[in-house]
Amino acid sequence: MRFRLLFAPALAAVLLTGPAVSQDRYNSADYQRVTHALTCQCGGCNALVGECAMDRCPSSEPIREEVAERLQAGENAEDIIGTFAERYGLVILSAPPTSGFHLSAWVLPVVVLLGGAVLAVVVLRRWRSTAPAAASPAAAAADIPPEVLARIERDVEQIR
Amino acid sequence: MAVVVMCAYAIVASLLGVRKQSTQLVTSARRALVAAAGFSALSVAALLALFLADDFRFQYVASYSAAALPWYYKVSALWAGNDGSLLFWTFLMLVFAAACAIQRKNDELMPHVVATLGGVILFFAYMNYWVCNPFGQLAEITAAGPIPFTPRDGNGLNPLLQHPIMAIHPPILYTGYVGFVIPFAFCVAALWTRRLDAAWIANTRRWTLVAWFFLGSGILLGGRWAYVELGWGGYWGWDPVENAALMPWLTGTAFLHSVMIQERKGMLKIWNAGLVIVTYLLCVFGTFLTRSGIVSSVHAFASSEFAWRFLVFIIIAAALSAALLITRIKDLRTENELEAVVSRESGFLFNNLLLLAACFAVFWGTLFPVLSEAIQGEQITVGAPFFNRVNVPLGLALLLMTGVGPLLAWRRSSVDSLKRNFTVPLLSGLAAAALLFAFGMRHPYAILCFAMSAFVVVTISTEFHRGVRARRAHRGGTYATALVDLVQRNTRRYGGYIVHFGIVLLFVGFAGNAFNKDVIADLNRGESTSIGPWKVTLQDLPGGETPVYDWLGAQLLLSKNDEPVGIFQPRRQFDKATGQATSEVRRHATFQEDIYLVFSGVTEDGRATVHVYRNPLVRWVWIGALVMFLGTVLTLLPNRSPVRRAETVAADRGAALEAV
Repeated sequence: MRFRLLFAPALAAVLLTGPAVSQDRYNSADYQRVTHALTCQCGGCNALVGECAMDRCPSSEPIREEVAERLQAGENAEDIIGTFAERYGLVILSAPPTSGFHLSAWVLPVVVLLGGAVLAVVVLRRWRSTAPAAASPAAAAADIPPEVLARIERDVEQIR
Repeated sequence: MAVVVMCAYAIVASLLGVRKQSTQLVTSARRALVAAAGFSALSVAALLALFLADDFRFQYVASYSAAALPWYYKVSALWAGNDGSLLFWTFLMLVFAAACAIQRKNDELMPHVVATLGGVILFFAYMNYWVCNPFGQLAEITAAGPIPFTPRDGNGLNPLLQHPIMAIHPPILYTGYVGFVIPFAFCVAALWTRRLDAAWIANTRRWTLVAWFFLGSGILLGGRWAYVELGWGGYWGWDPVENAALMPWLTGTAFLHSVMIQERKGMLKIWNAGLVIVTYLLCVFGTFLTRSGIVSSVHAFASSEFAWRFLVFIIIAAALSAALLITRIKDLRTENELEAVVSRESGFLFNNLLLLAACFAVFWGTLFPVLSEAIQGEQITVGAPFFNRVNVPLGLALLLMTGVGPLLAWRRSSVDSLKRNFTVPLLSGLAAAALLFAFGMRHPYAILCFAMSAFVVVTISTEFHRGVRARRAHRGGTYATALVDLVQRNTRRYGGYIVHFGIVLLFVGFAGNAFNKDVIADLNRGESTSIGPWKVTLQDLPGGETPVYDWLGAQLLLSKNDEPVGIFQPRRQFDKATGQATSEVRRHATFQEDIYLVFSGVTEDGRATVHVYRNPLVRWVWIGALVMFLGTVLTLLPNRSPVRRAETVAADRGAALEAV
């Protein structure tokens, strides 16, 4: 029943013809940018507004419409994003802001990577500096003439 | 309940067996785990039977099934909800535990392995029986008290889950998650018994690989399902539940690399033990994330109040593991020292650093909304743009390491060998970048990705070529026979290279995302929309129904440069049981690009809204996944070595003499 109600106009419309509608307003770079900076607020899907695939989504659908209208009216993409952030709060933005407390979301992964890199270098240097000279196979091989050593290394490289 | 008793017995018997040095008790503990697996199989079979019999007296069956559902979706409905999926999870874990316990090796570690497995499974069995029991019956509350109640039909299965991939994706993913319990148990046993050489790593290599393989396959299958079923044109959305599976996969990948340093040089012992522990805890954390409702996700089960128990389990397991690690730190001292900074060892170290940094970025991004709400009192969203910006550079650095690593020699790489090894691959990468730039590509990440892919492919090919050349010089034969011989003699190494090749293909597919285009159009019959050389024309709007759903389709003619390619019919389906609408997308997939067609619905004035995506190179993601699959299978095969053959011959001779 629900199916029929929903699609009665659709099935009827199959017989109708009408002028082609310009779809540009849904396909501009600014439209893509704004709808990918906002998230669906339906409460469960977390999708970007530009990617929400829910049929007649009560959240994404009106936002998409409004974004298209505002862009058509000549509003700037950043301003539109700001308007939605004011209306819904930061939760509508698809990524945390890059200021205040939320900056830590962006910074900490970089700090961890750099910290890890420093730690890795320190560990490598410590391993290297504590390497007992006599125990090192390279040092043990010091008695071997350099040309023979070079030949061995070349052969090993080839076999590798 | 029997599983709880068996697991408890396995813990007590194995530890008593160690104390009393009784092999009988330890054997009995091992068998208890096998018996527990049997009982667990029985409970899963019982639940399955209830689903197949449409026994809607049981709440779980009534919640996730319906009489009209095809039998195979009744089977997959078993893991559609929290209680059944947890029961299935325990069963899979017990299959691993039993397979490990019946092995007639690792006698020194096995009692503690059995005790650890018993402890972990005991927790899950407790959850199955006392907290999330799927065998609860429906009852109607009346003045006279509750009376049994059987609805005429069930609520049905979420139509998004009614897809062949969804019938296999969860079991495969769960197998990956639970499989890491074996390396975890061996690690704990090694720490417990202070047998901290590389033996526990050698013993668990295959288990780890199997778990890693299943987890990776589960993730990729999930991506495939999202792509063909959800209708948003993508395969990875950085959803918290997707992230939950990715995190242990990343740490597991780090472990698979860093173990090689421990095996060869006796280094990184603490690191490896820590990685295995973290990987397993992340697996359980994934379960917690999926079931707790602390982060909102499309995949998550409804928020469940019992989920804090998982957190308690994770905290206890982490505390015990950390205590073991700290008390064994002296025994985990490095046996060898590093000879040179530029070496394979340091390559692995940086590979681990990148994998762990990527894991942290995913972890941090996933939990940041919770943290923000707790500290700032404000809800925020951390979505795909954040994860892409943070993880794409890390991913590219990892791709580079995939090529650099194999070119670095163990112990130290001389300047000469560096020049010799790096010149051709580096030039190939640069040539690829120059070529792409000359052909007009300007996307920096995409150029980097393709250049690095070329670099890695050349390094891998060079490794194979060198090996074949050396083998032919030694034993002669054709190139092909030498190649087969080479791979058979070191399946782990060459299988690993094939996995790396699969990773390159995955990245090529990922890079295609940079060029995705899409167009939305409201079309009347006979009208068209275009995207590049492709044109989509609406021909008709057919509709119909099946016992399970009603549907309306958009019959679309796809043509390229005005040459017809085919007729496609994406649909909207309306599930009769749940009333839920879903998209059935249609794709025209080529090696170059996918044309992905979604019928989004009908406008108020009766036009069909059609969303057309042009997704370049997506097919390479699935091909890359297959190549990774083949490579992993190869690494799992034993090496064919002359030594082993000689041993076999000697053994055969011995057996023949005994027979005489």
